[in-house]
Amino acid sequence: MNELNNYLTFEFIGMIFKIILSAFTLLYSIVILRDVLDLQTFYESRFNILFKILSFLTVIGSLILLLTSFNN
Amino acid sequence: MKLSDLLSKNKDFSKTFLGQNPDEEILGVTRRGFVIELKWFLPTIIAYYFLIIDSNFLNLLIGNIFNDAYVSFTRMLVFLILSIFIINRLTDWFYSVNLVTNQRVVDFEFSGLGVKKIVETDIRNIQSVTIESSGFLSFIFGLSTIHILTSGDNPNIDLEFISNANQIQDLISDLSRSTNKNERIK
Repeated sequence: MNELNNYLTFEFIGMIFKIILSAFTLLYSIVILRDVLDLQTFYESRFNILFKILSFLTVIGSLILLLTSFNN
Repeated sequence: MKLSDLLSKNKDFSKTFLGQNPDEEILGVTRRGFVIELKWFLPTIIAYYFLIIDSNFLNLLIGNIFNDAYVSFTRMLVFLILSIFIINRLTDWFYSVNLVTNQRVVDFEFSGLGVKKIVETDIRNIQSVTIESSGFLSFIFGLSTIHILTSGDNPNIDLEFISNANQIQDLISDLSRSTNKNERIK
C-alpha cells in the first residue's frame, strides 16, 4: 500500500491526465483533418491548400503536446 | 496547386465539384452569409482572447492550484482545441455551397462530423423560384432564402441565408426559361 502511495503522487496523476487530454486532442485533430480532406473532394477552391495546411498543423501541434506531456 | 498560385490574385481558379460533367459549367456559386456563423465565431474568439492571449485570466483561474507548467499545458491544450473547432466549423461553412450550373442546381450541406446532405435538381424540372426574407438578421444584413420548387418527385431545394439572392434567382429563372424554350423547339 505504501508503494502504491509513492506512485500516486500529484505529478504522476497530473502526467496521466496530461497524456489522456493530449491524446484526445490528437485524435480530434486527426478526425478533423480527415473531415477536411473529405470535404475537399466535393468542391475545388483556392483555399483548399490553406485548410489542409491549418488542419495538418493542428495534428503536429497535438503530437508535440502529447510528447511533451510524458515529461514530468 | 502551388503556394504561388494561391497568392497570385490574377490567376483564374476554375472551380470544379464532385460529379461534374465534362460539358457542365458553373455559372453561380453561393453560400450562407458569414453573419449566421457569428453565433459560434464570436464566443470562440472571446474564449481565445481570455484563455490564450490574456495571460492573467488563466493564472487567476487555475494558477493557485497548479504550477506554471500545468498552466502552460492548459493554455496550449485550449489553443489547440479551439483552433481545431474553428477549422472544423469554418470548413463546414465554406464547403456548404450552392452551385448553379448550366445543367442543374446542386446544394452541398455539411454540418458536424460526417454529416452531409447533397441535393441536386435538373434545370428542366424547376417549376418556380421564390425568394423569402424574414427575421431581424436577414433584414439588417440583406440575407434571403431561395425556395426552388421542382416538378414531380424531384426534391425541392432551399438555399438558405444567402446574400446575392436576387442574382441567383434571376440566373435560375433565366436558365430554366431558356432550357424549357429549347426543349419546346426540339
